[in-house]
Amino acid sequence: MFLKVQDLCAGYGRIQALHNVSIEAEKGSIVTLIGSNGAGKSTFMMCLSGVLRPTSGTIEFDGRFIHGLHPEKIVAAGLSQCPEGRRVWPKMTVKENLEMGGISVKDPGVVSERLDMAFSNFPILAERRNQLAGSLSGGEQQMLAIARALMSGPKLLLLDEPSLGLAPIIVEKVVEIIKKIRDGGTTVILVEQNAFMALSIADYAYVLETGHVVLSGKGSDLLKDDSVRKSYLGV
Amino acid sequence: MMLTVFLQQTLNGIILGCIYALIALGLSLIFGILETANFAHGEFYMIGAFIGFFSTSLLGLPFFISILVAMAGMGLLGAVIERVVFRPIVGKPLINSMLLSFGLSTALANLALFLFKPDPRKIESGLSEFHFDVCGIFMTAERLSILVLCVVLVCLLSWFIQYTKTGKSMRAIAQDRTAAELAGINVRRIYSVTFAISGALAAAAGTMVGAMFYVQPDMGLAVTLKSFIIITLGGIGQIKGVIFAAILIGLVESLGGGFISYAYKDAYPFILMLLLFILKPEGLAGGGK
Repeated sequence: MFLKVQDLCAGYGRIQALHNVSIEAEKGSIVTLIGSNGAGKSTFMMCLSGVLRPTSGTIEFDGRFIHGLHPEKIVAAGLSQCPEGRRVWPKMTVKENLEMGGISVKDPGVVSERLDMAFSNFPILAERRNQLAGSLSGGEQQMLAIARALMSGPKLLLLDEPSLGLAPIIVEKVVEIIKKIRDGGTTVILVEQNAFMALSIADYAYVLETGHVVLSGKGSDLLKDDSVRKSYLGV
Repeated sequence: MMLTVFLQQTLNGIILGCIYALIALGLSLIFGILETANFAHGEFYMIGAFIGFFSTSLLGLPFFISILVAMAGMGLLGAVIERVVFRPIVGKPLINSMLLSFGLSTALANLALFLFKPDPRKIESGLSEFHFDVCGIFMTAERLSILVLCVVLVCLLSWFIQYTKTGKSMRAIAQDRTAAELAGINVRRIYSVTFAISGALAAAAGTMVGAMFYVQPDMGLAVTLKSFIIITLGGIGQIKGVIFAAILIGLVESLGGGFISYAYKDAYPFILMLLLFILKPEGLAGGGK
């Protein structure tokens, strides 16, 4: 298995946020985690990226265990994250933001290649390359955050709430981008509150409630599941 | 006559201000990037001055080489202190670093007192004999070269932060540390580099002051406090604001010393700060972090 998370537990101080979470992802698939606020989705993502240390459990990625590694080692191993709330560096230019996304890449030729690729995939970023990231609109910042996460050339991309606060027409654009990334061979883990959007494009999905995995299945199956429809799709 | 004194003190104030800028920029870097208040920063300056002193007096190295030796030595020590003392409390509330660094400050100052004794010593630059007068304003080659070196170091620092990979990483961490970690920046390495740069700049300043005035174990504390005033006035992480505030403090101290009384020279910057807090509470640069 490309990504295999087993019995992951994590928390903040005395509060446990994840209880024995086990999740798998096949290479080249889109796997989604849905759940309400505070379900532990972002905590899970931060554990995968090494920013938060899990208290127990294992994370196996591409044939090696990565739990306990420092974040920059995990990025270098091919796992990168586009965090919730975009978190671009507001006082740096678009180009600087992208260059920093490629900091784990040793070969400057590869970095400039990927920079060109980012600009051709996201023409709006090319137009605004010398503008400060803080001056971009929300949708543009989301594009920048995704493009930045792709600069390290990840085999696995974690996307945390990429549709948050965006106009529906921009959300559609984000969906297209996610599919394109998957078609390019990168595995995607997508965390979303917009459950309908997430389940529509996911190959496999997990439902997280208060730190527990309560349900899992194919995206298309969960879309038809009665409890999911009631709790997360509002129908 | 009054005019000559005024111009002389203004020139002295600018030189002093440039030296303060070196010290305060280092403090500001640490504050901005590690979110750590380093009250031992003045001791970095003091230790740097002693390294500079011994490298001229014991090793007989030329003044400018001694400045480089002091920068290298204190840079290395700064990185070690970061690793051993500050790394464990990064990300904790500010009060932790304030207390810890205050303790470190006291320990280092007393260690220096124990090792080097309280006698003031002077660094011989060999440049103070060469001087020139322009319309009654007195300038030594030593002061002129110190001024030039300060400007060069500040320009180098600005260039480094603006254009190098490490400098950009520093800015990224200051703006959003988690985003920096997620992008693959080795945050711990940048912390070490930041402390090394900060220590090196303080050491350069200490050696310069040691040549113009004296080197003493207790020279750090007043400088730490003045540096905090400077970064408060100039805005944390704002290079231009900090330089401006540093020169302002240098001028206030020098002109106050020349026209009011030299005995209170350390008090003028604090009086200025109080006045500015009352009259312009948003800071000189307006905003900041």
